[in-house]
Amino acid sequence: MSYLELLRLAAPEAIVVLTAFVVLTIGLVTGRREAGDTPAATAGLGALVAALGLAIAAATIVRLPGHATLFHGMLVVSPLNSLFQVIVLVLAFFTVILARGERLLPNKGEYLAMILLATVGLMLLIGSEELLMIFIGLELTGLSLYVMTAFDKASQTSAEAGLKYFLFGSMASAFTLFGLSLIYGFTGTTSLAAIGPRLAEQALPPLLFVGIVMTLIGFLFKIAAAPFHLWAPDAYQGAPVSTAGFIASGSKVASFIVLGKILLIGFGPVSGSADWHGLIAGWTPILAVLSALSILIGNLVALVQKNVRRLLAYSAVAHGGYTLLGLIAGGRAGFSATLFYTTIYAVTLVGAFGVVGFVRRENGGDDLADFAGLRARSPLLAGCMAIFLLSLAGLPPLAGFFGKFYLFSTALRAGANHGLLWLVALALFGSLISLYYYLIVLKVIFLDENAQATPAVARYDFEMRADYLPKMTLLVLAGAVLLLGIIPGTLVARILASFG
Amino acid sequence: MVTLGDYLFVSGLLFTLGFAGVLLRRNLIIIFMSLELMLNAANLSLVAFSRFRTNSLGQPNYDGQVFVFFIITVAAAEVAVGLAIIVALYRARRTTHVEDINSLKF
Amino acid sequence: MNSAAFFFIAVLTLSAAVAAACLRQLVHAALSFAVALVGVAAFYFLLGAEFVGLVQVFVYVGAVAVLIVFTILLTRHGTDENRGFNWSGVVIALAVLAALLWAIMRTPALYVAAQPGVTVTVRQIGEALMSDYVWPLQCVGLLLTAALIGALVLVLEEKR
Repeated sequence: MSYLELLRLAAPEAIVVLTAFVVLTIGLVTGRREAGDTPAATAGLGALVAALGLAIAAATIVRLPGHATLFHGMLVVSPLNSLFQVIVLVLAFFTVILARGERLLPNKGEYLAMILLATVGLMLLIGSEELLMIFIGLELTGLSLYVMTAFDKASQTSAEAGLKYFLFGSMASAFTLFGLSLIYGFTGTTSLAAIGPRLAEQALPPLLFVGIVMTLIGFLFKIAAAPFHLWAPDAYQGAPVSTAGFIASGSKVASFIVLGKILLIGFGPVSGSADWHGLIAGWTPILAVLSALSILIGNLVALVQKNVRRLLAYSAVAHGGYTLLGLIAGGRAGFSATLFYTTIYAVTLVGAFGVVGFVRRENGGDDLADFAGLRARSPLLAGCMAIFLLSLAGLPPLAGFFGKFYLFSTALRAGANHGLLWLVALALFGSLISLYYYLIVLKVIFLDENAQATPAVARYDFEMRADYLPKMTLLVLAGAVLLLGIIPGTLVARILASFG
Repeated sequence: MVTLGDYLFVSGLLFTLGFAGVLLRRNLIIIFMSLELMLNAANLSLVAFSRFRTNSLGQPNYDGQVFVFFIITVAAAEVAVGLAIIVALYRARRTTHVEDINSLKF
Repeated sequence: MNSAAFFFIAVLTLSAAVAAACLRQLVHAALSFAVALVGVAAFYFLLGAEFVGLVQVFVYVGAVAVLIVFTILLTRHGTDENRGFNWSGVVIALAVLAALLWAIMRTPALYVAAQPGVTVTVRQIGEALMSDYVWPLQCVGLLLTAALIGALVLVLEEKR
């Protein structure tokens, strides 16, 4: 190993970090002349540089060598990791563009820099197969996201949401860390590839099993599986809209890929089984129970929500439950189904939060009532929202339909004589419930009249031109959701091929 | 003779104490200190494992200690961000009590 | 002698931790917290991890505890805590405690005494940091930078 080799393999991360500092400098040099809002030119330049940096980083990833491992797995370049690093960069790219719409934020330069630093954290998470680096990646992502959540000082709820996210997140890392310390203690190694064989060769001591469970608890917090989801509704509702979108998309994709690697590479030998006929102790039954809980709690509580962001948060809990199905099914097929679903879900949620951001800026709120009559005010936004929500509900021909189909059919085929049928049935039932509350939102958008008179309309038309880019982005996202539903094979083939 | 189990016993107690503090106390700063106790418990068990897992030369496996060095650094960063959030919240609300922080509801 | 030291430090650390988690007065709790941190550092020395012990004293006792006292001063107000008892919290905490202690008791592999070992020198750790651990070292540096920027932005007073 030479330092040059490290620099070459870590070039994408380095580029994003440099971009973050450039954006920060732009904000410091040109911003802050006026009170409150960041000057539009500064925000525009910053966003442009940030987007450019992300694009260059993605291009660099493509040019990395196919396989490389440094320091026992601390930095792993593989087709799978590269694919998902690119996906995370794309999600960050959209977040940066949509964040441009959020004019109310002061210190735009710092905000963009935090988005970029969180992205680096996600890239580190995806690119490592070693416990220490996974922990550092988790913390870098977490700290940046806590700051972004608490960023909006004009809002009453932003700091509060940041605090709750911080407290739950730190507690989760403490659990993960304690679990990691036990795993290190019993296996004497921190590299995932080495942990698997060591677990296989000895009878599992009880304390090591406790360690594995504690590690999992930390990750289940991150993906907001019930009963560890309590932070999610508050964070999704109180954070700046683009932050909420990024937590729901980028952070979730990275958490799922790391969770999958830890479970399947590291803890593979102690997986157990959640089959109805033959329950075997291990992590699978635990995940199965939590998945069932998430599906039930998420969908049922989402039914009574009056705020669209909270509704999306509870539905995120349910979707986390569905996504776990793939990991429970296990193996390559299960993992790829999980990855496909979480990617599609992330793209959809970035878009949905983009629409919420527009509505919030126009009406000053994001309750269901604020969406009333959106069709009349902006057919484009209403149409995009319809595509996103129907995809989340899993209606054909949208991406969400194929994602669910792939996930559920993989889970059905996984066990002997359909052992996971009970969980799949529950997931189908949950999807049915979810269709109901997504349709309620669509009913409000398309059928309800806007109760208040619309003095906002004039201002809105005025802003139309400045909003051109974010609106195009929404259209692109909606197109992607549609396209991935019609020809899902391309992405699935990509993911499967990247397993090598 | 002091065994590895004894150290883990202390570490487990410390972890649970911190966890109980997080769950039961209402003051943010105390919750915060309790979180740090949980991290310290993890560090203690890491160092203990590193001491009791010697290699063939009789040298401790110092990976655990390097691990702890990193964790302490990360914890310091976490403290800075956490306290900044508490200060920002205090400016907005004039409180450091959990009960007063409930404008976001079910 | 080792056993006596272990017992003494354990009692000191745990009682200080109990005090930190229970005391009403914030400043008293912060002081007990600092004592608990010193206790953990003493454990590190007992375990022959001198470097980590020093880092613990510098970073935790020197910086973190002081930072917490500063925050207490910045956000100072009455200490009355009207607490309705949180029974579900007690149950969860007890469950975690029971699971951990049960698992520690039931794992016989843990009841081994230490080999008389050589202590790890600072040089060894330094070399590890610059070779095997150079990538995490960079990343932790980045993490500190991110935390610094974030914390500064959050506490920045808005000019008007």
